[in-house]
Parts: sequence; C-alpha cells; structure tokens
Amino acid sequence: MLKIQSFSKSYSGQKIIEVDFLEIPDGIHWVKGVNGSGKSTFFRAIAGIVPYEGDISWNGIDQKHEPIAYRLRVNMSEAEPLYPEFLSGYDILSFINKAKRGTKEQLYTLAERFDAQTYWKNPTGTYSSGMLKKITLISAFLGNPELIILDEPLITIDVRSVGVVYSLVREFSEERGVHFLLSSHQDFIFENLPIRHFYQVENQSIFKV
Amino acid sequence: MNGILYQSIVKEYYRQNAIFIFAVMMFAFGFLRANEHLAIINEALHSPLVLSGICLIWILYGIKVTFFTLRFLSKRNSEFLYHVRLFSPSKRFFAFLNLQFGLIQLTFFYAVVMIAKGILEGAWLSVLGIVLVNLLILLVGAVVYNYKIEHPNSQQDTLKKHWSINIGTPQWLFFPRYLLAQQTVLFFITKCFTAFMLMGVCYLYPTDDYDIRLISLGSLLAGFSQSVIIQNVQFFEQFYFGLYRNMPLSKLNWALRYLGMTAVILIPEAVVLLRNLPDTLSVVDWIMQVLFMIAVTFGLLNYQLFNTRNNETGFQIVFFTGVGLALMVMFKVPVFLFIMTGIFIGYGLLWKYFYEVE
Repeated sequence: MLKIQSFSKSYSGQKIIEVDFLEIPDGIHWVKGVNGSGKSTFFRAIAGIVPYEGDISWNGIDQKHEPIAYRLRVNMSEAEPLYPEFLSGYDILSFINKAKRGTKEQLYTLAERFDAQTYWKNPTGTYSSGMLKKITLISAFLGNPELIILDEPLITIDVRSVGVVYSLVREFSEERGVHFLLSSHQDFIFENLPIRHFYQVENQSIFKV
Repeated sequence: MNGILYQSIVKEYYRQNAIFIFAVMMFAFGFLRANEHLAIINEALHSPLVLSGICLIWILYGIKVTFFTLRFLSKRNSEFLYHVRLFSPSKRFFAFLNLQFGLIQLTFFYAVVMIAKGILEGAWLSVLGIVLVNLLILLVGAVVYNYKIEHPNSQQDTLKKHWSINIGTPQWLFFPRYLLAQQTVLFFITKCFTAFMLMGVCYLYPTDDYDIRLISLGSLLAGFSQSVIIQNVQFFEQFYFGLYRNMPLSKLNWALRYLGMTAVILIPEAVVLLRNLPDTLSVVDWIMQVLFMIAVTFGLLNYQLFNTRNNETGFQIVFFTGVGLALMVMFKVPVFLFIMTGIFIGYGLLWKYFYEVE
C-alpha cells in the first residue's frame, strides 16, 4: 500500500499539489488529470525524483528514511523522456539495470519484447519519440519492483508496443504481484486492464473517483 | 527565413553558450587591458605568425558554431527548419551567410577592430588576410548548412550506422562524454588555461628558493578553474537525469561515482603536471598534488551541485574559500589535510542535500 501524508509540492511559491492523507491500495490504478494538473509532479515525488514536504511510504518503507530500500521497490517511466543524444539507450538501460539490481537476461528479454534491441546501441539522438519512449518503458520493469509508475505509457508508441505494455502490466501484476500507477489524460485507454481504482488530479489535489 | 533562423538557431546558440561567452569576455576584458589588446593587434598586423595564431582561433570558433548548427539541425524538434529548402538556392545561401554572420559576432567584432587599425597603419596584406579568413568562415558555414538541409536526417542517420562504433559508457563517464561532445570549446579553453598555469608554476619553481607550496597554489587554482565545467554538471543532471534520484544507490556509491568523474576530468592537468614536474620533486609529491586537485574539484562540485543559495552568494563563498585555502597553503598547512577536508566536505554536502535538489 502506498501511503501519502501531509504531502505538498510547490514550485517558486506556487502550490502544484497538496494531499493531507491518501492511501492507495494494492492493484492497478489509473490516475487521471488534464495536462498541467500536476500528475507528473505527483508521480515524480512518489518515485523520489523531486523533493517535497511530507511523507511517502510504500508498505511501511519510508522514502526519506530508507531511500535505497524504497527505490529498489518503486520504479518509474517518465512521460516525455529526454536523454543526451550521444548516449545510447543501451548505456542508459545498463546503468539503470545495474542500479536496480536487475539481471542482464531480464534487460535483454525486455528489449526483445519491445523490439528495442535493433536500435538500442545507436545514439539516442537518432531515435524517434516512440523509440525513446520504449527505452523509458523498459527501464520501469527492471530489477524487482513492487510498484511501477507509468506516466502516460501509451503516448507516441505504435500499436504493437501498446500491446506489449498491456501484456507486461498484466503479467507483472498477476505473476509477480507488482502494483501499478498509470496515467493518461485520455479516457478509455486502459480498458484492457483490470483497473481497481480511478484517481483524479484536479485543483491542486488528488482524490478517488 | 532570416527571422526564423535567427530566432531558432542564433538566439539558442547565445542562450546555451552564455557561460562560455562570459568566460571569454572575462578573459579578454578582465585580464587584458585596452592598451594590451592594441599591442596584440599591432603585433599581429606586422607578424604573419601572430596573425596566423589569431586566425586559427577564429577558424576554431567558426568550427564550433558550425558544429552547433549541425547538431541543432539534427534534432527532431528542428525538422521544421528543413522547409527552408523550398526557397530558391540563392535566397537560401544568403540566409545561411546571415546565420553564420550572426553566430560569429564574438570574433567578427575583433576582426573589425583589427581591420580598422590595419587600414590606419597601411598594413594592407594583413587586412586582406583578415577579410579573407572571415569570408572563408562565412562561406564554409553557408555551404555546410546548405548541404545539411539538402541531406535530411534519415539519410545521414543511415550513414552514421555504418561509421559509428558503440563502446558501452559507464554512468561516471556520461558527463565527461557530454563535455567532449557538446562543450568542446569550454573544455579546451579550461584545460589550456590550467595547463599553461601549471606549466608556469613548474618552470618558475627552479628559478628561486620556492618549495612545494608554489606547486600547491597551482593545483589549488587548477581545481578552482573547473568551476565553469562543474556548472555544466548541474545543468546536465537536472536536464537529462532526474531519474538519478530514483536509483537505489547509496550516497557513498554516488560520492565514488562523482570522485571517478572528477578524476577523469582532471586527467589533462595530471599529465601536464607529471610532464613538467621539477626534478627535485618525487612521484609521491605528484600523486599528492593530483589528489589535492581532485579533492578541491570534488568539494567544489558538491557545493555547486547542491548549492541551495542564490548564485551570487554561492560565488562569493567559492571565491573567499579559494582565498582562504591559498592563505592556508602559504602557512604550510599539509596537503593531505586539504585532501581529507575537501573529500570530507564534498561527501558531507552530498549526504545532506542529494535528495533535496531539483
């Protein structure tokens, strides 16, 4: 269970999102919100990428007090990844895989499923936005995560890759007991997945709908 | 067409290179006085060797701006600029000349001053040389941009696949690679400055009754000279690698990665110092000096990376710390104490602020 207490995130004095108390149970959840509503900031705070006020814990593991244990369990794929154009996707994924304590076999299997092994050793500067997106999607499944956050996972990728995302989410959820937070600003896009709860990010807050 | 090229490329160039241009201006107008510039110009107008040196700098700068534009045109979000191909070849060519002209303003201004002085002094051959070199930089730029526009990305990327060799890059080399790939001139200028400075103290050493403190002062200045490079670490991490904060790595692991990265960045200084080390100093002295540079740079890196104060206060602290350290060197504080303190402070800052910055 993801527990969020007295959470608030501001940029230059402007409050982006505030949550007094929120418990997100196990399962696959869909977080909705229009562009700029604060979804990505909220996700990035849960992943430990941006600092914030308050407390976030996953199954009793506090992000601030046990940073390594927490980050071993919580992975994230960004909505619009940006990598230095001279590095290859393989360079970036190898680093993440090592940090997340994943195996080489796991990395290569995921790359194969997304059909990324055909291009991942070329510099990212030569990738299309869909190719970049696949790199960040692969990174979210590396290691032994318990919670995977996928921010806008279906944008810019082709129909085949959308199918791969669906099957991976199902597989990780059913076979490994991994929980998911998914986001999309479009409706009915995750209809093929057993979504347990829907959350709405709106008016600098998040609530269950 | 001129407007769109100016807005998208020229403005972006000056935005991205503000620190570099600032550093050049500081060097050109901070260290050298007006009469010294006039003396250099005078010397160049009457010495083909000096003039060739200056022209070489202009050409290098021309190459820098040309590479910047080529990189810019290769980006996906610059693809709209390929519409300029719809204009007539002559219009397009003049627009590219204008683009290159906008990019070389830094050196062109100096060339204009040199031409004016050359005309006054009747140094017609030198004036002709300066005009020709600047025309060459403009023309080559325009021809290269035209070629690039006529050969879109997909075609070039196919070619690249045949020529590129992939050597895996460990994370601690991500930034050094960025430095070499995208901040080449900054890297080159910083290393030239520190190399000349270290060579200077090494040559000065045997001329009088100096001791290791002179070399230590050189090492201290070499460490502090990495400041602008380090500013780019901050940009690099915030722009591309926010995900670092999601990695389950200990702070000690991060500290070792930053230390490794610092050591790689300081390889040129270490080599220059070894090559010019005075005879009376030992390899142990060299190792201690290299470690001193690494410790200073590591401390500075962690301060600048995790500096939560505003830039002005931050730079004041850096400046006065440098002065304080120089005084401590003069008062014979042992080098190993600096090494320990630099690494300890650097690690302390990383430990406290690693998850606090964005």
